Amino acid sequence: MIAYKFLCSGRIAPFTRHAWPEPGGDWVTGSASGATAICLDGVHACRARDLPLWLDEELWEVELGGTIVESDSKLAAERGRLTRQISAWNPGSASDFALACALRTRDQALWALRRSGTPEELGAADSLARAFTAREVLAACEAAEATAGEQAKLALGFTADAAGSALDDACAEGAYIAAHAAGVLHGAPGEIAERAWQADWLIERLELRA
Amino acid sequence: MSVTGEITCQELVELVTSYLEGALPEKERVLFEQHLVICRACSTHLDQVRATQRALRGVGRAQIDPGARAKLIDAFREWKSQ
Repeated sequence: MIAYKFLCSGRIAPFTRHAWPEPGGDWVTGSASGATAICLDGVHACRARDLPLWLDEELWEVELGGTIVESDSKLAAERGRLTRQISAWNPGSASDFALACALRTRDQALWALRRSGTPEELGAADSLARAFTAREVLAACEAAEATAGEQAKLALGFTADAAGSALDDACAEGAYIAAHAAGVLHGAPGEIAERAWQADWLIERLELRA
Repeated sequence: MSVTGEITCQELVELVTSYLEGALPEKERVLFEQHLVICRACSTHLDQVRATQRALRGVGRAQIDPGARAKLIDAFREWKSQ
């Protein structure tokens, strides 16, 4: 089975700090056998739809073998080996993704401002809608905050945080903020939809198998 | 809020030892790792605990001064009784 795996720079596993062999190298095996043990100790990877939850510096395609266990957010297998690095995932695309997440969060703030609908909030929404860079979004959020109602103020806070993450190139943080904002404003369906949108963005931009 | 749930930095700090021992249930382990993905400070904390564990592996019992050992045990007992 072909899946995906995010690693830190140098093919280092983010949690175990295991150094993965080069593509085409040896299989990596967990010490466990049995489905439950594989979840604890096997080789972990994810489907394309899980990618926004596990963002890191390097993205690899990985071949999984043996027993494979699927959970809500990941896969665990008896063994795995890297097949190729997804070179389209790099600092440039990560930065673009962080900005895309900030703009999605901005859209949540626009929704909250327009929903409330006071003249001041509608004016702030017009200004925020014309913000397309992280700095512009941040400045528009700061300007809008003084006249915003409670819900819009909350959404503006999320948006400013997401813009800050984009400025720091902290895409995992930005993606989380966008999903969290959608969840707070629209409930669980909003959060699920936001994570799905993020996965679609990554699949399309990185030309991955869905 | 989160569909899958989430843990705070403080909760992560309390769970670090169990995580490193592989003692966390599957659901908590996923939440723990998802927190690490988005929180650089907690990733650094985990690295520091790992480094401490590695450093302490080289320290044998005989190398610990008996007085210091007694103080540590007392401090630990006091902390556990609070």
